[in-house]
Amino acid sequence: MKGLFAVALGVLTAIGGFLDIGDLVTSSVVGSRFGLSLAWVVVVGVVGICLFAQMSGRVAAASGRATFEIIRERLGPRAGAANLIASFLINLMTLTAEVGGIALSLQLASSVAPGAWIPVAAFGVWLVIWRVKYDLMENVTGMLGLALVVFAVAVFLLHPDWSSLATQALTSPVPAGESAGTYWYYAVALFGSAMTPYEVFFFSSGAVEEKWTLKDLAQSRLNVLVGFPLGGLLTLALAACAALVLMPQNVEVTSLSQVLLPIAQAGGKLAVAFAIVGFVAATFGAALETGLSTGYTLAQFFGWSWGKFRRPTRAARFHLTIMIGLVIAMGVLATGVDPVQVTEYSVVFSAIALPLTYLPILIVANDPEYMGEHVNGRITNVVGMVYLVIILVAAIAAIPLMIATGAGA
Amino acid sequence: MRTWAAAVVALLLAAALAGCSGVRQGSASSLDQAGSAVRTARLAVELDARGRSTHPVTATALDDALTKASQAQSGIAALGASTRVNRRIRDEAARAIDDAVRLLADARDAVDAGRAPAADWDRVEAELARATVATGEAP
Repeated sequence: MKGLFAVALGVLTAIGGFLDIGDLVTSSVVGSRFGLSLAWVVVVGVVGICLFAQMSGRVAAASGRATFEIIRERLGPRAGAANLIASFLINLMTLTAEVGGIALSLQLASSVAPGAWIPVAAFGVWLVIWRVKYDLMENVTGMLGLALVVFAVAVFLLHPDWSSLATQALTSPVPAGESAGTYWYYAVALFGSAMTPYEVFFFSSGAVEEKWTLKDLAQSRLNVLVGFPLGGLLTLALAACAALVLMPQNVEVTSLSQVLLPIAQAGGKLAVAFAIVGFVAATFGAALETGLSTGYTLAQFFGWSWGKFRRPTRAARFHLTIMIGLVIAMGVLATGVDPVQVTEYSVVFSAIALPLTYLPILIVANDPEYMGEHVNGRITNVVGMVYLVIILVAAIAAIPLMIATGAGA
Repeated sequence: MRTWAAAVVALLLAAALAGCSGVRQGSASSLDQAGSAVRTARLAVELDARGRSTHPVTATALDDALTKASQAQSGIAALGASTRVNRRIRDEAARAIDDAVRLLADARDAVDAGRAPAADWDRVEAELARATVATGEAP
């Protein structure tokens, strides 16, 4: 019974952890402009993140080392440092987007301008990282994030023409008024929002934090293989809500408040309340994950003492890095930059940086020196290589597409 | 000499066409942005009037819509138009967007004061649509 509860909790956490401000905004933007014609990207992204998280979890359990310890060891200090700088900056950008996301979500509950919420949000994130136990932090935000199931319920309440939705999803047409360039730009953005590198830093470091052994791999596999696909379904539900309500009215999503309008139409005030709880939990949970990942990447690379399982005084530089990351995030947001725009760029840059972390993990997952008998099997390697090609193509195409389309304008 | 003159004329023509296309595209994009903002605000206000949304959500949606429409207004003001046709396209679009910004500001003030906005959504949407058509039809 206890085991079943642990699995259920892990699954809930995986769903909650999958959705963040990037998914909320990008899937709604895509839904309002392309309907469900980019649904296939969510499927590709979910399979990819399952593969990536599963490999990095197995590497952490087998070797006892987290992602950046391995990257430095395997790539050497120079190539590792280039990797660190890119990953750290993108992680910082995602942290900024998530802190901004908390502020925007709280504005929807209170009417108070997000500028006033930003310091509160950053302080809350720091306090939880400093004081709250790892599993409690993960489970509470994961479970509250499940309130976003309201988007799946809303799709049914909106009484859609299912055959039309299925046709959009299966034939993947480029809608009238959109160019092939913007279609592919948003395909990369949606892929980047599903396969965000911080999810993997967090997942592999979490495996070390929770002292996973090879015995825990079966449960971790189940969590990943059920939790992430369910998170992917919620992403599709977000896109479907925007496609059903906003697309017919020619409304293009540029703010978080617009994401709520289909929910209000479908389920009224109660559904809106659920969605806001889900927004706050998803963005807060992701801010915790990206905040911790800021500390994980730097501390693991430089060999500092790290982890929430140590008292803050025993991992001082790790905690200091997180604090500085939060201060930088606040500083960037204080300039008045639109958090939604930061989010839109962060998901595209995530796709650009993805090969930097994916390739070392794929290499180490095949190295018997680290993995012993737990190296990748043949099928995992074939799928892993296919994904390496997809990830490289997305990373190479991202900047030209961004320039050619004016960031999807 | 004749080749040089032809090249200069071609360059001037290309620049004029590019300028025309720039004003046309800039106006169309600003009109799209303002139109989307107005339709968002209308949906938010209608949902609130039907009791399906909360006051903070409606107020935030109106605030966001006003910000977007104001950005469209700044965008169109920044468009340099060197020909009479370009100026006509830009000015017509700017008038429609100014109207949309006024409507959104009034609606936001009404919601902030706890009143139902008495906004003429149909008229403003029709004006924006008319300006969009004019942008596409100008010679």
